[in-house]
Amino acid sequence: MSPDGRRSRWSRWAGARDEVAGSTAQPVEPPLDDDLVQDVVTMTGQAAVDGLPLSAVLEDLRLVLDLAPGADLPAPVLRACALAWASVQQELAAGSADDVAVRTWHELESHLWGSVGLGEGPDPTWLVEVRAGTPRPAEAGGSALASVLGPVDHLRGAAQVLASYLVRPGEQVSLLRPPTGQEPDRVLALVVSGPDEGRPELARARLQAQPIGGEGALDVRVVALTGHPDGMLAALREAVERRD
Amino acid sequence: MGWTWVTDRLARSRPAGASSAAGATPPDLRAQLPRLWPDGPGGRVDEEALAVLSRGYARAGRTLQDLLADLDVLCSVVGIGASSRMIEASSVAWSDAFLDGVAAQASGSPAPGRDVEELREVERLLHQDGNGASWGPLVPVGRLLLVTWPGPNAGRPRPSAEELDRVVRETRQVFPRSAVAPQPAYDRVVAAVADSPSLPGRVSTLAARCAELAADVPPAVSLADVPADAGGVDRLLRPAG
Repeated sequence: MSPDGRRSRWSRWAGARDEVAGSTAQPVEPPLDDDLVQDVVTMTGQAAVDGLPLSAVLEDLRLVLDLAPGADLPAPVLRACALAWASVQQELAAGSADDVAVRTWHELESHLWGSVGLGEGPDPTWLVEVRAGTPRPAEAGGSALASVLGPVDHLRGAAQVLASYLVRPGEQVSLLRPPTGQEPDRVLALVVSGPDEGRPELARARLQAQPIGGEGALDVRVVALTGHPDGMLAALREAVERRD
Repeated sequence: MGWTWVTDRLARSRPAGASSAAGATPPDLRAQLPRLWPDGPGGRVDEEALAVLSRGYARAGRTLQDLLADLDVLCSVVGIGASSRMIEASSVAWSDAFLDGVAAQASGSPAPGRDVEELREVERLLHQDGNGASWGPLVPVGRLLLVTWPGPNAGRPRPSAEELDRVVRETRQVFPRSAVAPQPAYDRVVAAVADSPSLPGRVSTLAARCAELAADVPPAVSLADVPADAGGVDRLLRPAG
């Protein structure tokens, strides 16, 4: 972006500053006393959403504050600006990870290796596996929609339902596809559940409560992933019976 | 400025924010002291080392908040506040590596040249071991961690790039402040780690995770002492034959 473009981007900021000056209605977390810092946080968030790298945001900030290139920025403003940029970027990255990914077993294993286990949350304790079943014909009480949608649509629908429920750290939902094809043939949902919580059954109940493909369209299986001598991934490998 | 004064400060300093575990500053954080201030306490800050450290945080999936909190702890040990320049250099390096990571995730492959850069970071951390003198016992001894696959010499297939990548990620999680690099030519992953009482436990954790990872023969996890001379470090990282 040209310096002029940058100036115009931040002139919005200057305008916004005038409007909110003295206003206490600006919801910013954590609460910061300084109006300047608050405004910088707000505008940095917008710049991050627009895809500006942090270095460019800081250059812009120098222009706005009338500082020479490379001059020291006030530390509290700089800190707030950098943290605001990072928090928006992390949210964006987490948001794009929310879509249910279609993976091969190998890709899933690799993904789990990185995300499950140490550091990022507890190990899943249950697998909820969903395959396409045989829906009952519409006249026998199945839905009319079931005849339009195919098994892959049912699986995608089931994956969405499960993904919106299974949001605890360590939980995750994937659509599994064979290495040779693009279409998924089952849903693997990893559930973190305490002994008395019954989350796998609650997940199953949610699927049954949704008219995805009508009755019988989905086969749901619940398998425990705990107690395997070689750990959760080994238990999952056996439960899925897949090494491809 | 002697190290007893710094030790005293260290005992009084309490990590802020996310890293505020009760007790002393973790050894692997202390290991960064001679890296960031190669001339000892009161010396200049090595901004390149600061950038390297910051990129490592982003790659290990640690937040900018963690990084700035740890930086505050390190600065308080040295007896200064984190300067605007330091905050900027570390934040920008973290943010660039964070964006690289997001892009690599989208394309499925890490940026080219990363292996070389990462190995340089490991080497750098091992080399500076001799510079730790001005920091006294504050700075833990460095060790080289090796995760080695049996490989073609033992009649086994080479580890895939994906497998190496998994172990790199895993090693970063178990040793969050270490430098980690894949060495595909040697069928192994290397890391410069700090010696501490918790080191054997963490090595076992990593070995267990590697055993879980492997569908075939798991890689072996071992530790090597770091030679005092640069040539020795070089031979350790690039063994002949």
